[in-house]
Amino acid sequence: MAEQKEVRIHVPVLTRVEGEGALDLRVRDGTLDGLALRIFEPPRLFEKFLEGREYREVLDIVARICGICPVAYQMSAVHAIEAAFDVQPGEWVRALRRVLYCGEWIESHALHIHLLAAPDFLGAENVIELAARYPDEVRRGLRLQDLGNRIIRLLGGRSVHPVGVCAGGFFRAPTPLEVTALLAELRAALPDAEALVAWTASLELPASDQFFLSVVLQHPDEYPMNEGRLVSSDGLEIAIEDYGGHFQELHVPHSTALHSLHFPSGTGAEQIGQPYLVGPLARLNLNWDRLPPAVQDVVTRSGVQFPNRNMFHSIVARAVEIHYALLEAVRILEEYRLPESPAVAVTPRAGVGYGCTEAPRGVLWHRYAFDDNGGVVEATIVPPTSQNQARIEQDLRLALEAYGLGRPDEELRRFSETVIRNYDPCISCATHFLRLHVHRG
Amino acid sequence: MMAVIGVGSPFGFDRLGWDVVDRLRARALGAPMLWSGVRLEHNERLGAPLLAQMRGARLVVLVDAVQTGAEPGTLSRLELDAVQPLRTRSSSHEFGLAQTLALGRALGELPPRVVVMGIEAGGQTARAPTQAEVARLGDAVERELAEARPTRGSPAAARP
Repeated sequence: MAEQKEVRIHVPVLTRVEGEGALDLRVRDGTLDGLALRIFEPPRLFEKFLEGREYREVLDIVARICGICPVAYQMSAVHAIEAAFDVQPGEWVRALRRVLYCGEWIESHALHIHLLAAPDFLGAENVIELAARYPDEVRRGLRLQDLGNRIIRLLGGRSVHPVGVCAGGFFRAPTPLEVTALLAELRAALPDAEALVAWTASLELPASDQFFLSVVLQHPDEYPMNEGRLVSSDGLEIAIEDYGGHFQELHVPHSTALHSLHFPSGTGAEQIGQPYLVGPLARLNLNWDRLPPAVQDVVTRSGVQFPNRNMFHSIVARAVEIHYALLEAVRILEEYRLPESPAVAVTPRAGVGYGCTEAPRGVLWHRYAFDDNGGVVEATIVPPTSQNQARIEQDLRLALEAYGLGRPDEELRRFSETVIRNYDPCISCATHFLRLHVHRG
Repeated sequence: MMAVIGVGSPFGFDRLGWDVVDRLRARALGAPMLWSGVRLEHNERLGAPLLAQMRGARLVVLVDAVQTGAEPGTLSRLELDAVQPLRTRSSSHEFGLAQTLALGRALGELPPRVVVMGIEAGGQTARAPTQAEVARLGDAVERELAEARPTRGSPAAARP
C-alpha cells in the first residue's frame, strides 16, 4: 500500500452561501475515494418549538426559519393549517398569495444570481468586485431584488419576516391605490427581467451533462407555486399527503442536516434511496409547458433550452422564473379589486394537515397535527436544502472527477464552491457551511 | 434633500434605529417647515433596499446600534470612509451595512455624504434601548442635520 500522504486544508471555503460547513475529499491514487459535505450547525429545532403553540402563532414562528424565504415557510404552513381545519379561503386569497410568492421568488433569485452566483462565473471575488466591472448588470439585479421585496411588503406589511398572512387569508387587503402604484413599477421592470434572462444565458458557464432525478410540484394548468401534486422525472405522481411514503429523511454521520432520499417503489420496499433535485432547474425542466409563451419566447431567443441537464444552467432557470414571476404578478394585480373581507373565518379542530409549496429553492413540505383547540401536537418541516444535500454530493463526485482531481487544492476548493453554490443552499434553513479538507493518499 | 434612515428590526437593542426615527417623526410634527427637506425612514433590509432608500439625498444619516468594543451606551459617529467591510467575502446573511456601503461605492451610487450614528450595544443586545438613549442619539442626529442645513446665518441659528 502506498504511503499515506494526507493534506489538510482549513479554509473557509464557501462563504457566499447561507451558513457554515465543510467539504471532506479523500483522494487515493488519483480517484475520489470519499466525499462528504459536513454540516456543522445543530439541527434547528423549529419542529419542537412549534409543539404546544396555538395555530395562530405558527406563521410568525416558521417565518423565522429563513430571512431570505420566510414567505415559503408561511405558505406551506398556512396551507397545511387550512387543510387541517377544512378552510377554503377562496379565489381572491389564492391569487394574492400567488403574488406574494412571486415577490419572494424575484427577491431571492435576484439576490442569488447577483450577490452569490454571478461572481463565480465572472471571476470576481464578490459582488462588490463584480459591481466595479459590471455596474449596469449589478444595478439591474438590485432593482429587481428591491422590487421583489416591495411586492412582499405590499401583502406582508414588511419584507423581512412578513406579518400579513393569516389562516383564512390576509389580515389586510392592499388599497387599489397601492396596487396601481406598484403595478406600474412591475410593468416597467419587464425589460430588465428579459435582459437578465439573455445575460445569464450569455455567461460562460461550465459544461456539465449529468443524469439527475427532479422532483417538483405540478399543477394542471399553471406554473407551480402553492398547489399541485408531487411529480418526478421518473414518473412518480402522488398527492402531497403521500410524500412520506416515497421520500425519507435520513441521518448521516457527517452532517447535522437530514438527507432526503427518494424511494421510487415506496419507503417500505427493499431498495436504496436515490438523491434528487428540487428547485428552479427541476421546476423548469418538468413545467416548461406551463410557462406562458411570452416567457418561453425570451428563453428560446436566449439560445438555452429546457429541459436541460447542465446543473450550471440553474442561474438561467432563476432568471426565467424572475421573468415569469413579474409577468404573473402583473397579470393578477391588473385584475385587482378590494374584497369584502381579506380572510374567511377559521374554526380549529383536531386533525392533520399537509402543505407543500415551491420555495425559491424547491419543494418545501410541512405536516402538522393539531388538537381540538388548534394547538400544535406535532410538526414536520422538510426544507428544500436538506432534500438537495444528497444530490449536491452526487454532483460534486461527478463534477470533481470530470474537472480533474490532480489539480491544486485551491482550484478544487474554488470549483467545489461553485458547484455547491449553484444549488443556492439555504444552509440556515437546513444546516450551515464550509471548509475544505483534502486527504490525498 | 436629506435622509435619516433607521436601520434595524423590532427586537432588542436592534430597534434603536427605528426608535430614533420615530422620535424624529414626532419632533417633525412640531416643526414641519424645518423638517420638510428631511426624509425619515425605517430600513428593514440592507443591500438593495437600503441603496434604493439612500438614492437622491445629499446627506444620509444612518442610525443603527453598533458594536465597536466601546463602553456600552457610548455615542458613536462615523463618516463613510471609516466604515470598512470586515471581510470581502460575504453571504447574504452577512451582507451588512459596511458591505452595502462598499457596494454602493463600487456602483458610484452613494450620496455625497453618509454618516453612521449609533450607540454602542455592548453584550446586552436583547434589551430594548432606553428612552434616554433614544433621546440622546435623536438629539445628536438633529445637530448633525442642523449643521448640514444651508442657512443664511450661523449654523447654530438653524438648529431645531
